[in-house]
Amino acid sequence: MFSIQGQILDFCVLAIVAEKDVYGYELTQTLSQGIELSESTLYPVLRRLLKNDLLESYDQAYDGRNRRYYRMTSLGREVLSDYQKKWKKYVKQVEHFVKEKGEKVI
Amino acid sequence: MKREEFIEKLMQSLTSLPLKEKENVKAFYEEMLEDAGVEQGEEVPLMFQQPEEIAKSILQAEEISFESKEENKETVPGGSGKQEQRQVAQDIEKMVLDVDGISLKIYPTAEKQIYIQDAEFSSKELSTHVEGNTFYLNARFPEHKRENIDFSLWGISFGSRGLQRHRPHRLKIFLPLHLLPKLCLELQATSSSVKLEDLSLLKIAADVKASALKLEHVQTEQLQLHLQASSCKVEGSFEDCTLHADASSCKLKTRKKPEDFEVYTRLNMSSFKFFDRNYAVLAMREGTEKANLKIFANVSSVKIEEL
Repeated sequence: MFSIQGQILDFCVLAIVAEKDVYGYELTQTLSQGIELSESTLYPVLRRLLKNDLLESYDQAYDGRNRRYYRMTSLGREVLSDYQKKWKKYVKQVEHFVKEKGEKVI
Repeated sequence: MKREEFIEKLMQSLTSLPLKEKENVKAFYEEMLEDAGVEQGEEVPLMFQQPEEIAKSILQAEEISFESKEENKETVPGGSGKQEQRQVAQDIEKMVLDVDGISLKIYPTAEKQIYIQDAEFSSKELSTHVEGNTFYLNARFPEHKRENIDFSLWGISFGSRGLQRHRPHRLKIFLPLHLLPKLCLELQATSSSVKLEDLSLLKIAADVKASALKLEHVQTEQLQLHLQASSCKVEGSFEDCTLHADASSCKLKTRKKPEDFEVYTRLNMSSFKFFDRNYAVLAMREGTEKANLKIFANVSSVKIEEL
C-alpha cells in the first residue's frame, strides 16, 4: 500500500472531521479503516491543523473524564473544498501516466 | 509495555518540548489509550510499542517550526531578543486583517508606532524589520514562493503554515493591539473579497473594487468607503461615515449611537440596509432604484436626496 502522509493525510482528516466532530481515538479508527496509519502520525497532523486554524478543539465530559473533540473551522472548510478540487486534478494527472493498456482515461 | 511505562518513556523522549506542549501530548495519548480500553497497569497495544518513534515524529514536526522562527529572527535587524518577541506574540489581542491581492497601508498616529506600508500581498516578497518601536513590514508573495513562507513574529502571523500548505486565497494578519493605540488604514483593494476584523483604528479609508467587502467589529472614528463591489457589509463602531458606493448591496451596522452621528452616502446600488443610528443622509444618484432602498431600525431622521 502507498504510504499516506503529509498533505494527503491532512486532507483525509479534514474530510472526516467535516462529516462530524470527532475525538482522537475515533479518528484513528476511521482512518485505519482505509489506510495504514502509524500511531506516531496522527498527533502531529492534528497539531498542525489546529495551529493553522483549520480545526479547533473542545473538551466534553465522558465517563468521568474529558474527551477532546475536533471540529472544522470555516477556514478548514475552505481549504477542504480547495483540496477536493486539487485532488480530482491530481488523480487525473496520475492516471494519465499509469493507465493500463487499452484503458481510456476520461 | 505497560500504559504507565509508555507514557513515561514518551515524556522522557520529549524533554526538549515546552512543558505546555508536553502536557498536550500526554493528555492526547492518555485519552487515546483510555478510549482504546487500555487501563492503568495494562499492556499497551502493538502500535504503541515504540514511544521513542512517536516522540521523534512529534519533535520533527515541532523542530521545523522552531527553525522557521530562527530564520524569521534574522529578518529583524535591530529587533529585540527572541524572548521578547515571543512575549509580544503571546500578547496578541484581536486584530485580524484578512486580505487577498490588495495593496495595504497601515500607519499609526500615536507614539507607539507600527507601519505596514505598500504591501502587495499577491505579487512580491516578504520582508520585515524593526527599529525601536517601529515595525516595518513589506509583504510580497510571488506565486511560486508562496509555499515557502512561514512567518510568525512580533505578534504578526501571516497564516503561517497555512500559507505553505494551502496557498493563500486569503491572508490573515494578527497584530497586538496594545501596540496600536491609534492606527489609520488605507486600503486599496482589487480582489475577490476583502475582510477586515477586529480593528481599532482612527480612520479607515478604503477604495475597494472587489466582489465583497466585509468589515466586522471595527472601531474607528472615521470610515470612508469608496466601493465598487457587489456587496459590502460593515459592522462596528464608527462616528463618521462617508460612503461612496456603486454596489449591488450594502449593509452598515454600528453599536455606537453618538448624537452627532451622520452618514453621507452617494449610492448607486440595488439594495441598502442601515441599522441603529440617529440619523442618516442618503444622497442617491440618478437612476438608483428606490424600490430596493431599505432603511432599518433606530434611524431618527432620514433625508433622501436625488443628485
